[in-house]
Amino acid sequence: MGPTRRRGLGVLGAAVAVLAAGVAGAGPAAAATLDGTATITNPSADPITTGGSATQFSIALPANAACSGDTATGGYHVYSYLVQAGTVVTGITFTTHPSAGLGLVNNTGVYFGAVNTAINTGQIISIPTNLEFGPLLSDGATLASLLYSGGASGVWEAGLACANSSGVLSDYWNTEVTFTSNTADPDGFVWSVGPPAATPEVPIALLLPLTGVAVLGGGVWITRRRTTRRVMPSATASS
Amino acid sequence: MSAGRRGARVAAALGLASGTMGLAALIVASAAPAGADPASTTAFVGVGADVTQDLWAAYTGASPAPGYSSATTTFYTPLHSSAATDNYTVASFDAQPFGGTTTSPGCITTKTGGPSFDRPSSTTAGVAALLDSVNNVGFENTSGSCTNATVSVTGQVDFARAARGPKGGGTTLTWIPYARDGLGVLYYDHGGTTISSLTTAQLANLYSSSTGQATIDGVTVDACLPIAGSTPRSNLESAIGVSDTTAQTAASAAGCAALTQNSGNSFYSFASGLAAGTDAVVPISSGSWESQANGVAVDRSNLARGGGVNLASITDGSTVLGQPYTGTAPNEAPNTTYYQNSKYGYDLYTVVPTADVSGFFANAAIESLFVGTSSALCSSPAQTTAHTFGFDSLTGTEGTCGSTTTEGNS
Repeated sequence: MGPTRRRGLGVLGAAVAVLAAGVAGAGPAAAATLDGTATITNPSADPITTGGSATQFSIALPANAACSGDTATGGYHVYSYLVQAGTVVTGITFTTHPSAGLGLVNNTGVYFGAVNTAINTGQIISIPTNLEFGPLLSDGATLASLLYSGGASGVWEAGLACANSSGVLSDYWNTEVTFTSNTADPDGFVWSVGPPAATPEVPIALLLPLTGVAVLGGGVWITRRRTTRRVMPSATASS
Repeated sequence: MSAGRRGARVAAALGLASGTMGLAALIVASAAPAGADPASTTAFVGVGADVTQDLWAAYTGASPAPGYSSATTTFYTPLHSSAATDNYTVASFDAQPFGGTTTSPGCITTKTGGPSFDRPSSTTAGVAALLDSVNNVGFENTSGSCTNATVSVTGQVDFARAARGPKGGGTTLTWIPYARDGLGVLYYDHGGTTISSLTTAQLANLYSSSTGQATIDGVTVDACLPIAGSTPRSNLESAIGVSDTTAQTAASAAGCAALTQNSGNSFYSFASGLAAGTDAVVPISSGSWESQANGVAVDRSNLARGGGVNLASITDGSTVLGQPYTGTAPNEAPNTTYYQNSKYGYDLYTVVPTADVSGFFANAAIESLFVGTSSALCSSPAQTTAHTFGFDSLTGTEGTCGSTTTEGNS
């Protein structure tokens, strides 16, 4: 086996590994998920990282994200929460709403919580696409409380959680959101997704095309190099 | 073919495959959410009083519900919250399932993905289920359970239909009045003197009798009661000043202590089997009786009406209230004087978690539906529907429609 063929098999192995990793990442959630990743998206499910008080959004969870049990037989429910950074999320209990902090609300201020899971699988379904941060104020939260760091900003943990029939948190998916004072906004604040992680996750939808382009480019490069090597000796002989 | 060219082709093929999968994944990830499920999947769920179950069926859009009987279904504009609060609707589960009884009402599943739990069979049971749903406590009917165990009902009940005010203290639940009903007393005349007119004193004497019988106008009369926890029962006891324990003793002795409430037929089935010359009485919601007679509700009293069962005229002390209704079927209507009486008239309530109508977690859609004189339930169309079902609008002395000043946990 020549070096070129070994290189080709190496590329094949790497590609298979990438595909395998992608498939594994899209698999069902484990039995219990603590501090999973919640992604803020627009109503069309595209991730967004900033918005105003009236920007509608939804929460995307990893594929097949599920509670540790279902509602019908296990008594688990899905709740939203919004607590100041540093709050231990696992310490929150739930009845009709979280025991601490606020929650995610829709454009009319209705809290998203105590929602049933899918039967048997416990999958989290029917996450609204009309969530907004602005109605928190009409619900009773104050701008000062959202911007608790001197009235200029505030960092919050936001996400969805599952709780069992006793209200004890069993699973949660979290994202960090920073509210910042903004006089141009009707409610006086804008938001952004918290500081990016050190090694940000690359969505498989982005990773696969990039990998494809890279492999394709590599193939073209190899082909051109081999062609150049074949042409050069005959050119030398004819001179 | 050289090894290098094969490698390049493998790499190219992999690249194309990978790119295609990635593009597909991108398309899937970018796809808009699936179309919405029926409006009923987001409707606020109500359980509780038998008295108003048909009225609330109308508020959900149709009463009697199609498919259960030969009765003609009438369609109504569904009660819904304001456009600004997303037009949330209501879903109301009967206390008495069609063809069934409140003594063994079976189970219900109120929301997609939710558990199967006991169908609350009365105001008391409905309020208990609502309280349990707020407190993360399991619910089970006190009798006739189909689960034979408590079941977590968290998030499964949003409001309770109540045909009485609160019995106990507590602030977890808020009782919002919206209409007025009358406490009627059904009588069955089994020959002899007709007992079509009764006084509060006569009823108090009857329901205080350890034998469950009393002689009224020369006729032996049996004291009957609907199931424990039902509002006709508790409203009668309140009106005549007799404790539930005492009344229970009387009705048990008479052999009719747990009739299905607001079912003239259930009462008739018992009373028509009594010896000739022995009559019987049982409390019932006047509104329910009228709506059944008028053909707008599920008729659970047709046999009774055919057998001569009717609502008695009531005299309270020196106050002659008369019969609870005026007119004749299918145009029976509330006797306003009767309904406005402080003993024989009572408010109807929507009971909601207090947290839904105050504080940070207040629910704007719930408030739009039930809170304030401009709420959907207090609006003219909703009140007109209530009149159709034999209920009166509130007057100032009876209470303010949509008021949130009354709290209680049972």
